[in-house]
Amino acid sequence: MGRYIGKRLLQGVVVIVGVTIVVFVVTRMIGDPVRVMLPIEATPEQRAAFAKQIGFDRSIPVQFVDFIGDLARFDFGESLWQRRPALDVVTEHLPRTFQLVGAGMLLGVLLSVPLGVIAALRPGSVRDRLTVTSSLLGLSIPQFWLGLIFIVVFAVQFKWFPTSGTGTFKHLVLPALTMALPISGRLTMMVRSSMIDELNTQYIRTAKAKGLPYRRTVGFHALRNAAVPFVSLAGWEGIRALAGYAVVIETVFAWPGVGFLALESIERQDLILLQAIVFVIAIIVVLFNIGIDIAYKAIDPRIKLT
Amino acid sequence: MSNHTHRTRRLGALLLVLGLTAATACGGDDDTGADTGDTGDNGGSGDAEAVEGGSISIALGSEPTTLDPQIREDGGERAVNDNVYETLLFRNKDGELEPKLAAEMPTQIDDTTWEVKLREGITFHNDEPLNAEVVAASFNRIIDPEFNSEQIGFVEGITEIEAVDETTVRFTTEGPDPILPSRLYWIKVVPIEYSKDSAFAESPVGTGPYKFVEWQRGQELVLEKNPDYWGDPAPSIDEVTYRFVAESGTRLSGLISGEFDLITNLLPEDADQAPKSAHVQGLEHPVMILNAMGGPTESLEVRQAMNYAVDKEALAEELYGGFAEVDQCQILSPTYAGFNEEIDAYPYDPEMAKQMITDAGAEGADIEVISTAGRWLKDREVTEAVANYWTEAGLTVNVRIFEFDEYLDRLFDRETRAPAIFVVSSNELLDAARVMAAYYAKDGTGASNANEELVQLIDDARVETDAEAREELYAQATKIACDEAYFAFLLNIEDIYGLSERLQWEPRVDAKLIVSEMSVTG
Repeated sequence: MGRYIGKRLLQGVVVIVGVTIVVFVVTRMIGDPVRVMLPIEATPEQRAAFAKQIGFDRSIPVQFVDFIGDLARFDFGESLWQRRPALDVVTEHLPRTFQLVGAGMLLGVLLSVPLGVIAALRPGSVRDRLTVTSSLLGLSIPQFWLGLIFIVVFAVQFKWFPTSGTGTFKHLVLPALTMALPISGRLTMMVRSSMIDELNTQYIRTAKAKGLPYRRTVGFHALRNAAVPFVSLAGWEGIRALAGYAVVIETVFAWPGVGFLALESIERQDLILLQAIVFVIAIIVVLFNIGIDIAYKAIDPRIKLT
Repeated sequence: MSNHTHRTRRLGALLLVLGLTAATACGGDDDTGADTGDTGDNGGSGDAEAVEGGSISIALGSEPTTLDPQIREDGGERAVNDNVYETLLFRNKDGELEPKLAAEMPTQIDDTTWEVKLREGITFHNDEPLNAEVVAASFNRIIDPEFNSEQIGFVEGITEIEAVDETTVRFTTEGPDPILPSRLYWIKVVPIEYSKDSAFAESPVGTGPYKFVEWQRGQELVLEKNPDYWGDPAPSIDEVTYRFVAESGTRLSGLISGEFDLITNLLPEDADQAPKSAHVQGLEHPVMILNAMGGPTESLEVRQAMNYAVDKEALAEELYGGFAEVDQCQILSPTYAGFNEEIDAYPYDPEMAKQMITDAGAEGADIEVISTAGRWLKDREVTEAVANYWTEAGLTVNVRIFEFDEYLDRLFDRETRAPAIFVVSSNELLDAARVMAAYYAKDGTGASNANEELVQLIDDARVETDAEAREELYAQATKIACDEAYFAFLLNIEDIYGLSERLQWEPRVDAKLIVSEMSVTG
């Protein structure tokens, strides 16, 4: 186990360095912060001065060598937009995103397991169809639209929650719900289909025939076997939430997390900050994946971690 | 706040959503869902009495990155610090410069020397006195190359600032600088001792009507009334909380739900949804740069036809909901220094446009239009609408919308100029100088003409310190560019603000959010 984790961590480092380098190359190819950050009316002299100031007057190979050197020391430089160390800006925003993704995932998982099981018990029944329809709705409604609907209904009309911002538990409810719906939609569908498969296997039928309590059969044996693909998909959803949903939801709800930061840094061509964000997210994704592998092993001891 | 990164995030769904809400709200017999709609000058509504005190909440599109007022070009920072700090000169409602910390308007000693007399007895919130030495140190701080200020462009050409006596500051410029007073309007005066403190960027101390209370990054920023404020008008509102909401639909929702009293950059199509809205001449001018140096647009007739072909009024009405004014054949608004009152917009005359294009033998000529999408309010929509008018006039128009960075490649390309490039000029100093240098003068970053006479006029105006003579030079320049149709002149977009029912405020032409000019009704 320990050796396995060590090996995966080593692979992770390679992945992270790889991703960071790709981001460096791609961002330098597509954007020039000097032109975007200064007003259009700025003179060529002003542009040259600004380029020198932020180090973008160096040739790209030179920038790259410097970048790798700094990376080895975990120095990402100063954010062009915030003028503060980029890594500080990212770590400052990270807890907010964890809070949002954590709440969204928790809600998604808590909703999906009972819904999926209930649907699977009687495939084709009314409640199954209701579950399937609402899950499909949940996963196909664009999140920015859903977020705005929630704001308009629950914050503007009923005034139960604030429209945006952070600070209290009430601020968290609408964004977390917006995040949870597509997650729970997909997870419910997955729980439902694996439970249907499991319930049709020979061993469940045997257990049923032997007179084992149905509740126990479903709750323990079938659910446990359905858990491996569930964890796998939940992990994937978690990563999507972190690296994707968060961008939209944080923007709609003015939630100051890393997703919002990523969007801002792209719009402002703050390549330095963008690099730091990608680096930090890559680390989290790698660690997250190792965690999921370990969870497989815990659920199903037959799985060998090599 | 119109700064150059004015972004236009818009969610089309919002209208639909709000429409739905309005429908549900109107289902009952209560009338709370209805709104009073557009009130051009809400200040005069009159029936509600303004009361002293109260606290308000303002939603800004972006959070300040720092509260040091001299280092960044940052709309969020400016919106807050405009209430904490003050400048030597200020603009009145009509955009004219007036003394603020200065006792009177600056006097010009010779071509390159100006003197400013200060008001006496003003102190910072931490009791540091304001005197000539502090003012000189403030300007010296910002022009120091080591300090790396992004605002250095606003003080370009100022080489020396010194205190002559306790209340007199002398400015020396590199060459004659007619817009020195405008520069004095931009630069905020900071307490010199405290500005060396590391806490300065987090907790500002100025001379203004509001004092800093706290800033929780990512959440909110609070200012309170300075009861000992020296100046006029005395602040009425006790406390102001700033929140930072990038998404315009969310800002509007917060306004409707009563969380905010003032939101910036309200979209024209959302103006009816706000409890109250207010609009004012803005800083941004969308315009098409026509290439006078080659291609079909080399012909003066074709360029003029491209002006006649466009129904500017209709663009203002249809695309900006009426919240835009037709530019009078110049990329300047009436309140800007250098505005030419003698010239008028090309009238909309599609028949004449067609005829001129036929006469020029340019029927079906290929016109490539370069533009971008999502950078400026309605950039893509304006481009496409104008292209349609040109198509109707008989040209073969090919609109190319690029991602912003690639778009800049085309805009800045001095070798091959596209026949038409859409751009939005922004004018923070409310002065002709920068737009002239960038778009009118040959070799300017966005210019597509080779007119030597125009360059000469603009160069002369840049160093002409006699205000009248300077106006005259710019009048000649704008006249030439108008007659020569170097641009297809379009519009000046208004700034639109959403206000709560209780907030009394008239927006400013310089887009500043001055809380001491606001009050609330009971």
